Amino acid sequence: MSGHTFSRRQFLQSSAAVLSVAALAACAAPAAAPSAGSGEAAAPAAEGGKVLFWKPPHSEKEADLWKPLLQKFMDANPGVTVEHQVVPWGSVDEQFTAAFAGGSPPDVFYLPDEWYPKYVNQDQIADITDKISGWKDNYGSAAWAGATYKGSTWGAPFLGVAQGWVLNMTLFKEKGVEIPTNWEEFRAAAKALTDTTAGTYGIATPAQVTNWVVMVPLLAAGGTKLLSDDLLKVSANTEGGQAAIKALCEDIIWTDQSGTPVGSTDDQVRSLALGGKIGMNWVETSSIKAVWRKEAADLELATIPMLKLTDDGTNASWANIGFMFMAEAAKDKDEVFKFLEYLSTDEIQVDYVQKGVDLLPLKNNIAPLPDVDPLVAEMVSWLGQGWGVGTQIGIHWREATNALVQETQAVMSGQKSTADALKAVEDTVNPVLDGE
Amino acid sequence: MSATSTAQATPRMLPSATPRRRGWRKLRETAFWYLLLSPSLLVIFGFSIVPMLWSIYYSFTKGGILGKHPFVGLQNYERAATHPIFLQTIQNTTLYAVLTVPTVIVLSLVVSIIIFQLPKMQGFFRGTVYFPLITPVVIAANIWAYIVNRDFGPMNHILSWFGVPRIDWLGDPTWAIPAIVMMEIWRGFGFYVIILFAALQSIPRELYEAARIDGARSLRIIWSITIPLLRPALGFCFIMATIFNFQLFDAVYVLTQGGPAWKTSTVSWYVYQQAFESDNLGFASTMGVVLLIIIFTLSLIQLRFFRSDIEY
Repeated sequence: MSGHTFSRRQFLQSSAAVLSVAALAACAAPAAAPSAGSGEAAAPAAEGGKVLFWKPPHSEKEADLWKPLLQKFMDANPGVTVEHQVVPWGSVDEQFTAAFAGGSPPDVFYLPDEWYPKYVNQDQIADITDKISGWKDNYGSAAWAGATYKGSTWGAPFLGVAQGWVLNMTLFKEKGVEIPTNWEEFRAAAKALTDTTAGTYGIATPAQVTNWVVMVPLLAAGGTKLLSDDLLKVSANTEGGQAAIKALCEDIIWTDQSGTPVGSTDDQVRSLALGGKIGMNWVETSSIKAVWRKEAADLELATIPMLKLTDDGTNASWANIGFMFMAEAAKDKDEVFKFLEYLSTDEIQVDYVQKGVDLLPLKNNIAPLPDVDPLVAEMVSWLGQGWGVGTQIGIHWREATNALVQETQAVMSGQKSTADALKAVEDTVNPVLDGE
Repeated sequence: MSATSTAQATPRMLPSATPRRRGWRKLRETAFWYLLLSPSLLVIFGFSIVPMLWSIYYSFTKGGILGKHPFVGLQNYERAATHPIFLQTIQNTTLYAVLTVPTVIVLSLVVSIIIFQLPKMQGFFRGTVYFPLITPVVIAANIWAYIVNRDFGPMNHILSWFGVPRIDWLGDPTWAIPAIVMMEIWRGFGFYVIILFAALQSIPRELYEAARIDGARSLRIIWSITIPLLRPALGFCFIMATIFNFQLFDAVYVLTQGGPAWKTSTVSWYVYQQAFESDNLGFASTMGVVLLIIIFTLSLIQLRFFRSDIEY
């Protein structure tokens, strides 16, 4: 031992300094995650690279569903590893934005039609027009049109959903109400089914923030759309549009009080609906088998579309389409595209889209499954009749739908007339529309 | 005492330090303390100062989170000045703060004084009032949504005893803000109780004894001794409550998503919506900067109002 000794002060100072340096080191920026644009993730599949694949879930067992399908691809492409990540719907905006901004995006990913134009405008999605233009005839025209934005094709159509009113026939029969065939009957049925002292409601009030999926078909029933075809102005404020919003939001929900309270949460409405307390619920095809047949197995169900209201209007269903995209940052696009090609095969359309999550395959040659739920078959048949309405592809769509939801809430809660509410949507949204 | 310890106890005769050496030593000591502070400073700089400066920069640009950000001068500020939804969110946010801040502070003061007077179980009650604060907001909000449900919530049930008709608390634009304010008060007041309780403990007992000897009663003592001496702590509580409530986001996001009819949308919530959903970073940053200016100004005013030279 040397004769030099530390004083307590020196010891404390040295310790504190060492700790500070360690803490500073810990604060240093972490090494960048492998970037599709520059690193391992984008390495050519044939060279044994990784393909990062992100998809929001369409099933509670999403990861399990994909496991054998991805393994099959990896077996056919030795050395290639597909890393699958399930991105929760509630954080899609944040996670994708962070990944793109951080330079570590997924190589291949799924997004629905209302989300992707934003990322096209941010130059994050690869233009695959040249690669998939030959696939056009394999898909329905609506699906293909949805993949086209600013004159280019950005994604491979992957799956579709349809939505409509699911009727709780158990409650209908209990109250002696027939299935409505027009808006007068619809209003009368909602009124007859409502008994707040007994805790029953005619309809599940579409007041939640995502319920433009009800409002857009409602506008179609009135013979109009939310935005003009050139995406330069709000086109909902027509006689038909006003009649449609008035029929549901003003007459049935506000005047008759035939819906669940506007302030109910999603969980509360879901609990009431599956408990058989709501007569008419706006439901997506995917939840028929996964939710209703499981959690409300005793209920007898039927389905109707949003009923035609005006001469210009039509019966309507919400039709939503999702696509598989390739990141612009993917380094070897030809190799990564092989995986996207695999995701577009008939096999995936059948094994994942049809059998796995009970949704609509978008390829023309895929026959319906023989054991499809009759309610789902009914909803899908509406699309064939041209009743499907969906997203108008553009970057301001979500801003427009947010305004529509908020203003229709004002009608449902008696704060505004339908005309005032639709005028307010115009005033809020028109200034930002630029046709993009 | 050993010889060694005796030797250590004897002060060593150091040569007198030159001014240059003294300066060098002082510099080293200063640098040392800054080195200790550096992790915190780095975090504050990286996660507060830099984002704030970026936000100010982005507020003069247009475009999304990614991609190009062309400079547009004051265009975003001009738009904000006339934007109906943004003006509505400022109005809503101010109403939240006006309803919440005084209520939560007065309630906290009363509760902290009551707990302070308890001869036993002070710890239990402090823990109890703090409990809602550690409950995750999603859970708290769902509990609250059940409490205020129009048809089966206990709130309307109790009010019905007094003949009050059923209220759709979260669905009626008139009552939606008060419903969220009540939840924020319920969730937040435990924090201020703890702060004020700690401040109450630091007030010298002699002052109370002297007041009682002089014949002062409880209310008089609270008014003339407790509250004036709590002024620094009250000031801190007011400033923090103002900042928290002007930044209100989570309860709105979980409970109402800004509805019905924008009536519960706050500036923070609308900033989020514009930045992430509408990909309108320039305008979102502008609103953020306006909110920053409002909070900063209010904090300065409050700091000046609650300035105190109390020493005890």
